[in-house]
Amino acid sequence: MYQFDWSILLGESGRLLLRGAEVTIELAALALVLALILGFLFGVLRWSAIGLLKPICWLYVEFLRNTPPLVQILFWYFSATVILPNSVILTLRDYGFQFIAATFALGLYHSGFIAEIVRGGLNAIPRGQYEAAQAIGFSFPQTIRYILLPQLLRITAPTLTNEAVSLVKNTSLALAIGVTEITYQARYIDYTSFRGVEALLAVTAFYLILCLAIAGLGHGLQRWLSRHRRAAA
Amino acid sequence: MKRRQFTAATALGVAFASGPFLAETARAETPSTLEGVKQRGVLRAGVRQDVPGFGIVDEKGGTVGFDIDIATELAKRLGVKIELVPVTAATRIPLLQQGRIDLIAATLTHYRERDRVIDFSIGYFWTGQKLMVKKSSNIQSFADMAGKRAGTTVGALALKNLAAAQPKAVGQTFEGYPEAFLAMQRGLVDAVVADVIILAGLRANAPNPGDYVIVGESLGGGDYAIGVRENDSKWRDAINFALQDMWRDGTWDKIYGRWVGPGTPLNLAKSEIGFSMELWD
Repeated sequence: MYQFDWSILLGESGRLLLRGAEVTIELAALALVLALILGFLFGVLRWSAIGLLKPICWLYVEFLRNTPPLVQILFWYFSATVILPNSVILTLRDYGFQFIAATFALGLYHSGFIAEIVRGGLNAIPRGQYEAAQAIGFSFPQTIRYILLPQLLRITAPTLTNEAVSLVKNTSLALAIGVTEITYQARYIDYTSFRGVEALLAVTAFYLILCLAIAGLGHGLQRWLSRHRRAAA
Repeated sequence: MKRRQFTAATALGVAFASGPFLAETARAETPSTLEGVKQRGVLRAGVRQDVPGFGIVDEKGGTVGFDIDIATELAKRLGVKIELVPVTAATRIPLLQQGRIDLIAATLTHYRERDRVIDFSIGYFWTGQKLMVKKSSNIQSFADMAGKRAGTTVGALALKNLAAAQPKAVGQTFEGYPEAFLAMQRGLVDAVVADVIILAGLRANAPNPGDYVIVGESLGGGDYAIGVRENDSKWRDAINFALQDMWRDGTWDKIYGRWVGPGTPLNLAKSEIGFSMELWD
């Protein structure tokens, strides 16, 4: 029978887990910003695109959504040496290239899903509103900023929250290329002291709390947005 | 009705009275794994399938290697059949603790921290950590690693030894050794630091083995030992004696020659390993 020894979390192991938690949060936050920017961009493009842009956006979204995130992380990390010149790699290496590659890969992966969420949200807004905005002289960016975006946020808030939660969970895949996030630290502790069960339970609690907090924030945002809408109406 | 109550009460009373006594005898008579294995007629050994030379899947789909031959020989000497259970670095300890395997023969290095959780046999192999670099690089030893990066897996032993031998080197870990090796080939790290055996295995599988050299003084190092559950000295003795018999009668040498020695893909002379088994009279 396994004997729990929770005291390990107070010493060196606890310190490692805290450092890992910091990296996880940083990685998730940066990747989320990238995913939101690219996701909105490609979502709007795919919704409005005509001509050649349409197949490009389709390819972007489907390629990212239908390959495993771990494969994408490995791909960007290892193929960077082919894409970037050697001198750049040697410089990036010292700034923790594995972290940069993981941020980029996770940001891209989730931007594919966010693009679809955004497109779906835009489709839910009656086309007539868009045409009305055009009729009273709104430019395309203005239409997006004043007519579509406020409604879009309210419509997409629940699914975007889910996507953010999923992104946080996927950050654990970055351990494959040596990003020292919290799951990596749990493995490290398991490997060095065989006290992996305690570390893993602590990590589970961390993800649970973080993801529940994000879900709570998303719910709050959603309520605020719908209240806001009532006030405006 | 009344009778039934009486029976129930009696049963309860007997259970309470004999509870501590039964528990005591149960503990005293916990059978050794040795008896369990002999009764079953099958030895369940946890082995690797991803370490060239030590535990790998061959063309016919069977698991073969140094560790497998050692485990099979152990089973033979115990007079039982062998059942190979694939394990990874991450699963081998839990599988042993849960009783799903009888022993671990899976490139398991013996060190003190691990000894708090499971027990170990005497060492049946020894390997130290070295560096593998591109032939074209100017790294010859750990001293040359100042300001350079070395890749390895979450194996802390190599990381710890690297930090001790060259504090100015940066260690980076990967999901597995193949990824660390790939990173070295791509220039994402300058060297791979790992057990000599693992390095030799990686090199053997490379498309051009001649491009990579194993350099540096042997660091840390440790015995590969058979992992067993805590507090089962009968079982541990049986394994230790069988291992020593293999060393004495030349079986060990034969297995070494088949998987590790010159002419094999690992291509390591016995002198490069520098192992000799602890023997008791």
